[in-house]
Amino acid sequence: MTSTIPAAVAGTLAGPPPPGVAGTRPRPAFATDVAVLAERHLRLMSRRPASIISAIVLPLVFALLFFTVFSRVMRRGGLDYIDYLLPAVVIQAVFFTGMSSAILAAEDALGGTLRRLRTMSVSRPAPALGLLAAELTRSLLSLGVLLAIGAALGFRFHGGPWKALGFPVVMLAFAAALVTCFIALGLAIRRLEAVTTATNLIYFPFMLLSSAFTPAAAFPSWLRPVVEQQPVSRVADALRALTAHDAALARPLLIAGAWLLGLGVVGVLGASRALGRAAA
Amino acid sequence: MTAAVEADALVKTFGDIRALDGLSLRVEAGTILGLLGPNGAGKTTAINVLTTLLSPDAGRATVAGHDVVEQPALVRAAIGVTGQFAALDSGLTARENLVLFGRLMKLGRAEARRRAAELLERFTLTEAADQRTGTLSGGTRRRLDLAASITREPAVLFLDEPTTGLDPRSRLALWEAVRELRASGITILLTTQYLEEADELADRVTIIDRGRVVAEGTAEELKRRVGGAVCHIAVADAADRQLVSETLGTLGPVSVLPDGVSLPATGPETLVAVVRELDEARHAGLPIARIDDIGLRRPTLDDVFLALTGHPATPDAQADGEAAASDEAGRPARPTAEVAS
Ligand SMILES: Nc1ncnc2c1ncn2[C@@H]1O[C@H](COP(=O)(O)OP(=O)(O)OP(=O)(O)O)[C@@H](O)[C@H]1O
Ligand SMILES: [Mg+2]
Repeated sequence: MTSTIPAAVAGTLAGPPPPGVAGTRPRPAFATDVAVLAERHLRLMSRRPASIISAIVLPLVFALLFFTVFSRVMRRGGLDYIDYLLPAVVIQAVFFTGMSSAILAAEDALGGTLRRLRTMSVSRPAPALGLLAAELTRSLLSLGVLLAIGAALGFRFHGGPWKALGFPVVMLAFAAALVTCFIALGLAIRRLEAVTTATNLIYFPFMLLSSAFTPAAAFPSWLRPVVEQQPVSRVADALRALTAHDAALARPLLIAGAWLLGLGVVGVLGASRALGRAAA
Repeated sequence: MTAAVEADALVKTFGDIRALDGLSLRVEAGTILGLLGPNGAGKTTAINVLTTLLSPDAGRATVAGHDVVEQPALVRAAIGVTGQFAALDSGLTARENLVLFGRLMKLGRAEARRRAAELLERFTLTEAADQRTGTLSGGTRRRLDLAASITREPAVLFLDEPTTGLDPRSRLALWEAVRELRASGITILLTTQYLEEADELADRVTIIDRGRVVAEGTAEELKRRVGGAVCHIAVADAADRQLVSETLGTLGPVSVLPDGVSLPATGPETLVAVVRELDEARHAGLPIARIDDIGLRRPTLDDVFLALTGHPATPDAQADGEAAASDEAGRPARPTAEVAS
């Protein structure tokens, strides 16, 4: 291949040459880029003990811990705690996924991967979308593990197969919105300790001041409106509506959907801005 | 000849810093251009503009016939880039990294694997093939990085300080690889702080300082511009260098270099005069501890740089040598300063 210059000059006149011919130049192919980069992240995650721990071990430990500590108290209050608990630990696992995505995004920005991809024929949003796809796969794995342990502890979908199918859909929507925001955060901050601090500052208040682990009624009355309205509680409401026998479905789904849409828009705007900066 | 890279009066500012201040350069197709300059000269910024990472504030540039601002996608499709800091996944093996690059360059799975095997062979990486990249030595990582950037035989290859931080043996291996790439017809623009490296590899050399070209030509031409022979006194110790340079001040304009002191020579008589001066100084009680070598030689690019810019190319020649610490002590593994912007 010594005739590279003539080929490239021909490219100016006739546009990029068709793919697959020897000596031609690569062209962006969106889906391939996303798939290849998702595979890259999944492979890297599978080799990283911290990823496996936060995707599988931690959610399990929390599920068992909360179950052993609270199930008796809650049952006394007339609540089947494993049914109440499962959506909470699922939401928590999504947060762990989000934290992982922020770190990985920051690492790609720091390690020069993003800059290098930017000098290649790789479509612009592919690095972020590849990471998103990998994290969604990861959170499905967490969900599978949690559903298995939940089933062993007595968790059931009481609303029939359609609602049961809605459960992973809502979880994935939540994960997509949250991970997108966290990727934006990681790309924007680009300092590993600062990223960890920032994600913790989001995780703790939103998780603890929500109706995920304990009903809103357990909070002091002045705090209750905040606890009830905030997005994590709203997503928990939607997930619980999907596991219950005959709960009203439309309202919690709509409210959660609105939150997630808003969160998603913020995430996409933030991530595309940060991606441009991180690569420059 | 056709130009594979052509830059015309590029300007790029970061706040008050004019990283590129009207930089023009040209790389003929199939040749190697050495872009030579000290720390902060604007080498990386020039590469970033030419590889579409940064857009220039003024001026224009074409790479492989495409305008870097107007047609970035076509430029990206025609280039390979090995940055100043290796961008490989330390958690993947050498082979996996190469397959990844092949896939991102739109090779099919099987084709990417085949190409990776071929590159491992060609860059003598077969032993490292199935080790995690994070465990490889710096030189091996650099070669792998180079292999990755030519996965799809680029028309133009950009190498930003490809051997900075490498031991001499790894440096030789990398030089060999670069020469081979040139032989296969790839146009190469490489930046370096090592004058020796430009001398070894480059067909033509462009010397830049503070974002501007200070000289351009073949290494030979540039050496000729500085004039005839040079008397070089090799002195390892910085304090000794200072003493020697003061002692020889009477013989002509003395330059203090990283590895010694040099002054223009008219012929063997300069050598005699230098030896006499040093001998007398020593007898007079001047505490010059150790002189490693005295000799006449053709000017090096170091001399060229000094003659053209008025200051030495390597920072540790600047008297106290404080600037050298940043480089000799190993550059930061991650380009924190660049990234933090
Ligand atoms: N993103 C940035 N923001 C602010 N200043 C920058 C940025 N990038 C480079 N500079 C400044 O521009 C000048 C040229 O930098 P550049 O990195 O191009 O030099 P260089 O020749 O590559 O140096 P080195 O040999 O140290 O790699 C320097 O003064 C540097 O501090
Ligand atoms: Mg540089």
